[in-house]
Amino acid sequence: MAPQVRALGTFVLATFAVLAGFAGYWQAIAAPSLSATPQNPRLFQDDRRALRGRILDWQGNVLVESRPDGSRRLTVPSLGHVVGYRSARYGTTGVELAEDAALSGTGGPLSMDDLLRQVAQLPGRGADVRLTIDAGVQSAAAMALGTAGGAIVVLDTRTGAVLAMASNPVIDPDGIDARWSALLADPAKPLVHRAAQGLYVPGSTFKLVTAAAGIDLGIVTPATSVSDPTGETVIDGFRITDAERPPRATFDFAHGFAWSSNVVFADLGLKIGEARLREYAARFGIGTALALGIDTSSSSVGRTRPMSASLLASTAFGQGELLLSPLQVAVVAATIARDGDVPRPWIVAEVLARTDAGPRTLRRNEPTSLGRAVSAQTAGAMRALMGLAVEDGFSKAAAVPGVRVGGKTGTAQSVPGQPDHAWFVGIAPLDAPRVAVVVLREFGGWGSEAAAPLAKPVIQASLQATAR
Amino acid sequence: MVTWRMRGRWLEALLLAVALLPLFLGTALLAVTWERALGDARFWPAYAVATAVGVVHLALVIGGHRGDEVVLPAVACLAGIGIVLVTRLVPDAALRQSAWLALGAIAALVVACGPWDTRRLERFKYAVLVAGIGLVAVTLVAGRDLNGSGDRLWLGLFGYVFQPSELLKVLLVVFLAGYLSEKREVILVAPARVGGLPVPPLAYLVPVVAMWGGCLVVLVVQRDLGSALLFYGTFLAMLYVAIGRVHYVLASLAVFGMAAVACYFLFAHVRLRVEVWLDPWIDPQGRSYQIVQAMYSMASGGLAGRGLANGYPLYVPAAHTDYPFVAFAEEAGLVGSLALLLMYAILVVAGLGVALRARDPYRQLLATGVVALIGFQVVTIIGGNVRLMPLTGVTLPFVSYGGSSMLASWLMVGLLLRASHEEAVAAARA
Repeated sequence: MAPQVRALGTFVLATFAVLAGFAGYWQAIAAPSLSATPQNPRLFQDDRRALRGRILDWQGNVLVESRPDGSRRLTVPSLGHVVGYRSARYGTTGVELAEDAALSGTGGPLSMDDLLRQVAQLPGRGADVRLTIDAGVQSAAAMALGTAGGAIVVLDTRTGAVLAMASNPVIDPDGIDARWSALLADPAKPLVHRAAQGLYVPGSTFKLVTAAAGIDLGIVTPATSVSDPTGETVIDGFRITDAERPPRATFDFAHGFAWSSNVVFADLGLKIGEARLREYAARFGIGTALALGIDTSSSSVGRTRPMSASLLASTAFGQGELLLSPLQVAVVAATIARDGDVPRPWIVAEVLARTDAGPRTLRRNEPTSLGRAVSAQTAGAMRALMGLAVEDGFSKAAAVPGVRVGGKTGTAQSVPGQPDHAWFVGIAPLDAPRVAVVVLREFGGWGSEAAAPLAKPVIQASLQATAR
Repeated sequence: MVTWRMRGRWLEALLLAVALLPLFLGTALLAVTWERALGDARFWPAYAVATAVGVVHLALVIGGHRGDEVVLPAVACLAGIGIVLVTRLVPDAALRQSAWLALGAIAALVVACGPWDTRRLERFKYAVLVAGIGLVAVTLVAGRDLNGSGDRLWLGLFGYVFQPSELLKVLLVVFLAGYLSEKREVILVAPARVGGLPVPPLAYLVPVVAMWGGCLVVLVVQRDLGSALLFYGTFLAMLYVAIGRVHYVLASLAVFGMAAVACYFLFAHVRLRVEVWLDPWIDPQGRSYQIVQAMYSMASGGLAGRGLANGYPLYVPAAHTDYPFVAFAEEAGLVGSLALLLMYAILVVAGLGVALRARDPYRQLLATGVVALIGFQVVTIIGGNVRLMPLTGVTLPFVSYGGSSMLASWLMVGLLLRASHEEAVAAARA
């Protein structure tokens, strides 16, 4: 029986070797990714050992800080989605996730002080994260939005920094575990961060892209005369109608933009062609997720290639298969404000180590450009068009006394049988823009009535905040 | 009969001194991390284990035991790691665990040194079989469900509870060693042919069918997947060693495989275990919570480990019974995991050495059966821990929390030492 005993021994030892291989896989090869999984509760235990850093607005006001029990207190409720939640069961999102290494201090010792604390086995201190958010503008945006579903985004057009980002319905990250199943079941989908991750048909706000492409390509100028006697046209059996009543027989392109003529833009879209329209959309950032610092969804012109004439026409005036996030619409407006240069939107200004001697900057983010979308002349012409839309067009309700505002409304099909989504996108001051504001009201109806009026107080607050 | 003359057993003494290092180092580490004195009551169970092992060694020396000197140190090392792990995971249960260990050590000592002979077990194999069947029957009738799983796997006696399947393992090895050493010649005669097809002899067919049926009962009625797997695997190993015919073993394996596949489709609890094993991410907050937490735990250990009492193995539900290897791996790292596996390998090699040196077929099969059982048990539980196979409720010998298992494991160590001693005595006479 001895040979069999030896064979059995070989078999058992070989199986042990396989076990060792599996242990090696989990503990060496798969370990880094498993340990970084946001749902891994160990991440939270490390927090409790360290003093997790605070999240500040750009002026240093405390937005989030830890309570002694390690839970996080949010002082500006409308920033729930932006700062995100930290749940041992459901994971981490927002700035809490994006800057987790800095906040938790697990990114290695940040200073000599930290190193000493580590050696002495004292709890480490996570770094503070300063956002570009302005608490005042954020509050104005949240107040304007009220309880309506939707989003408001404010960008500093000079840098691309996000000054405010409000989303409704908002979530309260504190103690989210207890409400998780209710949040999941809620038909309003409160877990979706609408401002950065919500994707909507942009409606006429997309005419900014189409018009910019048309002007940049030399197909139209603001003064180009157009004829549209009936206020409607039919392309491939698809009827396109205008909102302006009664229709005018002939007018210039600028008027067509200000009163958002679908007929004019359908025609322009066909002249631009699918390839060039897609190219201009891509230049504005549509099609790639914007590297905001927290999660964003990438906007899209649509998957159908090639487009039929009717699809191209409806894409050109903002319907078709277009899906844009409010943040993306803000980037389009900011590009026009910046003479055609596309800013990268960003939300984390800097990471500050807390030392006994005071805060010390560890990392500072700088404004960056995503490239050029259109020429400076085109952008200038676009600003004039946006100004006209507020002075004599559908965007009148966004006018602010004493400041020239440029804007564009949008009224986008939502779900069949439901009211349209109402959009407004504006820049101010028109002559030397500092801010871009986007308002989206879900199921709000007409952009000119439901969205444009909300922009006014937000523009005022953001101009005040950027006046220094 | 044991000759009552002292023997040095210096190798065992030397190895024990090294083997108990993990116990003492682990206790010291716990004391530092928990900021408790070494004399704290919390650490008494660990000292009790060290004492028990020392007493067993001394008794073997005094008793003039001539058996293997590597088995006890290997077991002592594992038991030391086990008691440190239980102290760290469930401090309140450590005392009870050490009491069971002491009981097991005494039982092993009685088996190893007592005035008896393994021949008696060989002769009374059918009595052992009847006892085993009786145990199963009693469990089926009077079993209690202790962990709320709905499976009645425990027996209560005088206020204590016992898991009969653990004792059953020992009885199974004892019976099979007797049966197979007697019948192997009969099994090995050329098979009769019926219409050109070879028909295996009855002496082969009867135990195969009986084992198969018995394991099915364990699996279906008691829903104890791990034990069924272990019983059948041990049976196959012993069958193979006894008759040396691989195709008999493969045929038996195929029959069992079919039953296992049928179980997958018939029983929801089996299906669930397999599904979460194949894809733990299907429901990480619910059904596969435990397995996902176990993966996090192992990953957290990395190469060097988090350090004793510095990790979070308690995030894994029931870590001290279901995931002892993972709990150890988190705090001792890959280095520790491999060392633990190596220690089991040493035990297996030492045990099979006993079997190889045996000239008597019964003792050879007994030693082989004990080693196969312990080895397969290690593979089943650690394999379940590292996702080589679905998790089953089998304990990690000498390490997991669990009294019945501890007692049964030590009984097997006793049998191994006994067989080794008798062979040494027989060899000296020859």
